[in-house]
Amino acid sequence: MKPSIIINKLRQFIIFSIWLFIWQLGHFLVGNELLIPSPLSTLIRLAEMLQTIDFYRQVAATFYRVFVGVMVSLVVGGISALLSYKIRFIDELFKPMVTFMKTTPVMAIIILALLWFKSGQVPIFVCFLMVYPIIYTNVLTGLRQLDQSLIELNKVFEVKPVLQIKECYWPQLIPYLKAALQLAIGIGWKVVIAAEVLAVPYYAMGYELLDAKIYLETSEVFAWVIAIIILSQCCEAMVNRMLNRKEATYDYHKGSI
Amino acid sequence: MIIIKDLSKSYDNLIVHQRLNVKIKENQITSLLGPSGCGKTTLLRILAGLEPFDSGEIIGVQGKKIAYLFQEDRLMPWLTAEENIAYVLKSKYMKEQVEEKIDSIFELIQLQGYKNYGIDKLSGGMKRRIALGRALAYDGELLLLDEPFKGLDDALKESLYEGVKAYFAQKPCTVINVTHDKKEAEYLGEYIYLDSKSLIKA
Ligand SMILES: Nc1ncnc2c1ncn2[C@@H]1O[C@H](COP(=O)(O)OP(=O)(O)O)[C@@H](O)[C@H]1O
Ligand SMILES: [Mg+2]
Repeated sequence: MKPSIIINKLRQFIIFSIWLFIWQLGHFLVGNELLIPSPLSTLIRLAEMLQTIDFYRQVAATFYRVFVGVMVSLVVGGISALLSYKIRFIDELFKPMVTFMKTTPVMAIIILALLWFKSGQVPIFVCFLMVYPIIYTNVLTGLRQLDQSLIELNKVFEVKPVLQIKECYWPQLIPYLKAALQLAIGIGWKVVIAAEVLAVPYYAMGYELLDAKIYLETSEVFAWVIAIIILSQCCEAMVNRMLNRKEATYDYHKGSI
Repeated sequence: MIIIKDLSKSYDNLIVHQRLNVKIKENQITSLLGPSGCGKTTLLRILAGLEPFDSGEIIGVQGKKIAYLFQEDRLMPWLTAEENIAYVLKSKYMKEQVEEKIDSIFELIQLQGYKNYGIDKLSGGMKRRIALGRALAYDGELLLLDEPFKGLDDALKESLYEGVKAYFAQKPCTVINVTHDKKEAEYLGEYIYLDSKSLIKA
């Protein structure tokens, strides 16, 4: 390992330790396991949870809802952004809808969704409503930032549309897509869990969170929160890796001199 | 023959061309000379079909395969030098042809060692030559060059004139070359002076 990497790891470890210490201190000062459980009891609870099959079913069910919600938003958001870019009427038609989606409180949307859908579908629908405007807005901004001078180049040299998209437009859109997905995944996990708390579908991390709270299992609540954070971060890292690799091939061919 | 007949073009209240008449012979290089702002770039953009015009007629351009070296380089920084040139060729030529063309064009622009360079790692003059190479390699029937040798030093310019002339001797096409440099215009072929008097404030 290079020294710079070791220093980096060391710094990360120190930062992690400081926050862990603050947590421990909080637990110590409050002095009540029911209000702030200790890191150790949270860890033990998490370890116990990891040994049950239900944990994986709940994680899988919630992950599935986030995945479907974000994916549908990505596809629908991408296509509708393209339509808005091309057709001014669609752009203006969508504007109030997107504003509505952006400003309506999540809780209001969840309550409406509870009236319309089955409990397992509520979180997916809510996730879509929250994530869709992010994808739509970012992709549309990306499209509007496309280099006009290259559009003229493509026109004069009669470059085939497939090649235009692959080598000219797609590389320009990746940064916008990356930013959108990063936001989308974080928000996706949060709203899916929130919707699960209210919709209580059978297998759901949000439901377990509520259950733990009802039985005053605060260490379990903490354990679930940690599981959620780790999962959300992993998803983000995975998507980043995928898009970074794609971006690197376009990124000025850094290694090729 | 490309005939520009009574062409008028204005932006808002600025008249750029008023009843402009120009004839350009096929299969030779014709340079357009004229001071900055006299409408040379506008004329090329009109010929390329990128700019609408108010009235007049353009004969002999429609249906022609056009290559255009824009006043700006318009290279894509996420592609290498070679890929930038290949980009405009791929839709028109087979893979082997593209490779062949790229080899000979890199020799012409004297950048053989730079094929895999990222655009951001090239100097201004090198970028200009890649953009020139891209327009030449395309082998259009009509080639529009907007200040092709901008930013190049004299020695390099002169050896490029030779290369470009030799290239067109082999593959004749109609070239319209915009320049400020009268010597360049004389050396490359015929030239036409675009009169700045055609530019009138309305
Ligand atoms: N898109 C535009 N909108 C308004 N005015 C323009 C535009 N493009 C060029 N002009 C004006 O038209 C005139 C001719 O420009 P141009 O054709 O670029 O000149 P040249 O290439 O001969 O230097 C200039 O006065 C310029 O400011
Ligand atoms: Mg000009």
